[in-house]
Amino acid sequence: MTTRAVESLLTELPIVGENEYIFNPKDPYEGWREGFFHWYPVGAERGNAGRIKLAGSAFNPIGERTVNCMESLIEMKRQLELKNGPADAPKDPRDAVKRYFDLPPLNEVPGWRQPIRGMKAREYARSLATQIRVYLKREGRPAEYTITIEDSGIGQAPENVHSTLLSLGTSDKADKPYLIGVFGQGGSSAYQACRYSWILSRRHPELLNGAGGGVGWTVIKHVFPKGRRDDYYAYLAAHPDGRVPSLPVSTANPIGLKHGVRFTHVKYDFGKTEPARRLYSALNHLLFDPVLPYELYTGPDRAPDPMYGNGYRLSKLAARDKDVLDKSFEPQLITKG
Amino acid sequence: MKALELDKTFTSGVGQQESYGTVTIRVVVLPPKKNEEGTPEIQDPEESLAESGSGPLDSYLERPRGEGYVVFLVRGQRHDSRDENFVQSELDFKFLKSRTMVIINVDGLAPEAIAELVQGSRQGFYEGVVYGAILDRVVAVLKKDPDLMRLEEDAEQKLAELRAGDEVVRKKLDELIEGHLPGGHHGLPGGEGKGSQGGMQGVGNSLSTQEVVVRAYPTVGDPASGPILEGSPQSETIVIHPNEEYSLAVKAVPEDAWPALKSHQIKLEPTVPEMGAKVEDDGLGVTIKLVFTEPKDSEDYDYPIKTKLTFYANFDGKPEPRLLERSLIIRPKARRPPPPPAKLVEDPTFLRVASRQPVKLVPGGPSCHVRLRWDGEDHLAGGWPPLWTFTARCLSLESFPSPVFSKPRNGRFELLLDAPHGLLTGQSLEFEVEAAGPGGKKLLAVFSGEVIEPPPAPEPRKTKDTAPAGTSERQPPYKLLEVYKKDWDSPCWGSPPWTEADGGCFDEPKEGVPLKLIINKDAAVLQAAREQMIARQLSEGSIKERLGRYEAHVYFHLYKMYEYFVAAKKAHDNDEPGARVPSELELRGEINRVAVTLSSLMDR
Repeated sequence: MTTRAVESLLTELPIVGENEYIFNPKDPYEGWREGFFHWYPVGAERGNAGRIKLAGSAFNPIGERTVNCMESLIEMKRQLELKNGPADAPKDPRDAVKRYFDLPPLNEVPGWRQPIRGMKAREYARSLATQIRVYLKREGRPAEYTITIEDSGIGQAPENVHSTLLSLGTSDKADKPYLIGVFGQGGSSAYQACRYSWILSRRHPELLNGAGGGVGWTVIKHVFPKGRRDDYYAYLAAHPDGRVPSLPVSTANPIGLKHGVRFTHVKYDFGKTEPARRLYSALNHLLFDPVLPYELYTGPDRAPDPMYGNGYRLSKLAARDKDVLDKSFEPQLITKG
Repeated sequence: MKALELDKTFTSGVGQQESYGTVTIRVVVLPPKKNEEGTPEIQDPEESLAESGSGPLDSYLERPRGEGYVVFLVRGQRHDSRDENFVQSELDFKFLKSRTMVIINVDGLAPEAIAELVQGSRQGFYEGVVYGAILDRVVAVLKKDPDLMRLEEDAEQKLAELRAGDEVVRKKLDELIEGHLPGGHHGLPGGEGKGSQGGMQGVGNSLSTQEVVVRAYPTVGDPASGPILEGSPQSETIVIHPNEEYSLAVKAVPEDAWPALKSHQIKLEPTVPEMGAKVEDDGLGVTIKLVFTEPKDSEDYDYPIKTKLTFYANFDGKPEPRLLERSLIIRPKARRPPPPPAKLVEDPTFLRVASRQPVKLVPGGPSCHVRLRWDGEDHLAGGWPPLWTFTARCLSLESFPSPVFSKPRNGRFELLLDAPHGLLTGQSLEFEVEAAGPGGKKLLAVFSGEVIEPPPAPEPRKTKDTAPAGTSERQPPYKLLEVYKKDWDSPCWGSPPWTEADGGCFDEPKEGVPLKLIINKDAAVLQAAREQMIARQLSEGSIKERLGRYEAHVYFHLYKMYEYFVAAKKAHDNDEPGARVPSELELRGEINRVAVTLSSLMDR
């Protein structure tokens, strides 16, 4: 996916220009043209730039998106669990990962002796990593980087994409202690770091809860309205209430999208850094002890790197090198005053 | 009782309402990188990481040589970090700073506390009271960590060894300069200057404060008559290696006074229970034989142990006791590799305390690390649920805060004791550690602790001692001068001009004008070395120190050249055979050679 490919697609679609449809939060129908896609503010908020421009560095948004993927897997397991009857919620993400995946903290895997689901701990962790995939691709002329972060998690039905994946600060996570983020906008910072973002989402078929089973999609871009200073981020909406376009479910199988979400960030801005080498270190640092492992693909001829975080890497190093000091202390009480 | 009341207050202070929750702390120290020859490259703490190239932790940071040596995790995600200076400035491990990573997981904090820390931007914690309390805890746990202290000492020693080759020349010059340059410290012969007439306070209750006679310089105390005590070896500080006997001979001066000896006494302060002392009197003096018997399982962690030996002698007809003091440092000959771990088994058979007892507890001070050993496999203490669990309690004081453990590694682990405020100095406490395993199996270990006062922090103190006179009163036989490029038309070795190749020169003394030792501050070699140090981003202090050393060495060499020149001239004037006065060209060549050598050393 390149800038050219996205722009080529956009020219073929019936889209109302960003200066023609001015979103009115009190009346989104105002100026809406039936049968056309419209550039709709992310989070239904024209002033969203302040909430999105929080990346800080090129790597933070990728880490945030990857965390979203972990939550997507945990939530899928949680909702499948609830289909079988009421069950207390896991008390935190580690508890959830223990309950649903039998996975110990990844930094303990190098020393973990007990088999997990009939496999050695390391092999089991490796197999789990395939559920979340981060791709770095360099393509096009002039060359540009594309980052794709995808999971095989719960996904969102097309009619819910706008109120979940494209929401800002209206998190549905607050009463779910087993999820990681709270603000529900960490991953959105990736919009700042790229020219276009491309989303594909398909809900787990067993968890539709009456929603349609198609594939939701949209494109997100940075909009600079003519004659105004309040730039914002907008996505292609198909309905004045913010719903995104959708494709029939038949389109999902050929691209291997059984369920989950794919975020592709086109022409990702890594600054002067060479990301293929840096991404491995940076992600292992940012997701130091991730609750779930994932895969990192950095080249067409290169096997994916399973990513377990620096906590794991340090434990592994300490296990094979006796000169490494590695000490962990039990929880320490932090007293007030 | 008083302490107990205060302990109760403390206990309520750590109740759930009074805490923010818990954090876990992990510290990892990697060995230094090795160069092509396989020699460890110890980071010079004076050099910035940016200058020193890649470090062993580079691949664990967000970017090489960036921040991230101390990371704060929320749900496994890094939310805040600090650079390596935290390890140096807060924990005092400057030699470890570039290869130490501290990982603080705050998931155990109350939601309100996490909410105070986490910001929407994920670009760092809010540095308020919660953050401060976490940092305080990290410092308390790690500041006196025996493993970190041992590694720090190792690194310092290795760095000193690595420098040794290059330092030989410099050190020699430094020593010589010490004795010659103004402001240099003048060593005192004999090394017996300590002691005072009124000074026996603090050596123990059985001894009274009274006048004593020591061997000292006239500046100490008042004149006294003999005999005095003399020790052999004369060194004021004695290094004793574990399990090796050390003999200190003590005799009277004059020697024939010894038969008048009435009694003698020996004292170690502080006491070292493992130290055995035997005094053998042969009629001419005594030999004190000291042996430090290393306890089983003792490791380097407890070294060095420092104490002071005082020998008192009473002579017939002499009202004042005679006194001899020695500082003792007990440490192994060389850092030994840790002993091979005990064979670890699935069904552990023992649990024991490996720290020296009584462990020292400082109320409100850093955590006391009590080292423990067992022969259980490490994984027994992990897993879901762990097959073995550890608990500890204070048998003497129920309200003593619950200790926490580190995770076992190769059968070794630690117990952290945090002595609350309010305990009385000198109070003894007994502790019990229990390992509980499957089938009700239990392993027990007990140990004792002693409450001590925190060691006083060094502060400016006015005291009396012998010292060289102030430089303002001293008239050195030379004058130190500098010449810059703008002054190069002035005489160099008797005639102008200076060139960039000239490192310095001396100008013989004339009537009323002392010897002049002149350094060329704009010499090419010096400029090049200075620029290279700046390019390497050496700290300003480091550059200044190295330049100062260069200058001192060049001045010293000029001084020695002058001495040689005068001696050669005198020999020549006396027609001594073979005597020859060095030419101006030779003098110039010699100091330039020295300047080049010293400037190259300066950049290392």
